[in-house]
Amino acid sequence: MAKSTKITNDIRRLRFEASEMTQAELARRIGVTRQTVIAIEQGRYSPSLEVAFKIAIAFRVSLETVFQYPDVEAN
Amino acid sequence: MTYMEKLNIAGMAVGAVLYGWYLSVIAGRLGSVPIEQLGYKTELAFTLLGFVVLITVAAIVIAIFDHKELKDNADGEDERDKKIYRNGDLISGNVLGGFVTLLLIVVCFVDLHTFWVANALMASIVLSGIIGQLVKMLDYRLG
Repeated sequence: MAKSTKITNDIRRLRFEASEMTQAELARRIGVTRQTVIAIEQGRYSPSLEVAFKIAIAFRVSLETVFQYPDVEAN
Repeated sequence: MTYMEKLNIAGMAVGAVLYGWYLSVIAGRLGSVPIEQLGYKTELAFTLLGFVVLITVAAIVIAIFDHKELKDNADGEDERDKKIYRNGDLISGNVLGGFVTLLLIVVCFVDLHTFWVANALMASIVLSGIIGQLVKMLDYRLG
């Protein structure tokens, strides 16, 4: 399970912009543990599509605003 | 550290202590009496049942201390926890299957006393459990 992911995210910035929302608060809103939020934020864990959508909804932004994936063909 | 991560560490600690106790008791008797007369069944059953009882107690105690986390994550259904447990259990199950298959092959060719079969099975259960728990610990740290 412990493999690196190419998915990057802007959760840290989005939390900051959302009145410095804590990791615990985000975890409570999306129904996961704080440790899972930390792992996602640090790029150590790729969440399921459902949790990814929940994060986007928590910040009221689109999925692409939260998560990015490099376009291999374009590079 | 999540509730499930603490439970995993507790399982490893309880397993190591109980099996260590069992091994020390049986090893002390091994040289003194013949295998046929060596008493081990009560201790073996005590180790297995003791593990179930102690891990249940540990789960309750950890839940009492972690009640806030469990309340916040009400259903206790954290997807990362589930994936980590599934991965660890899968590897543990495969290792146990391998050990048991190996033991069956040995039993087909060697006339082993029940003592050795029971203890080989016990060692397989403990080893596969430890490997599974180590994998989970590693996944918690890295994944």
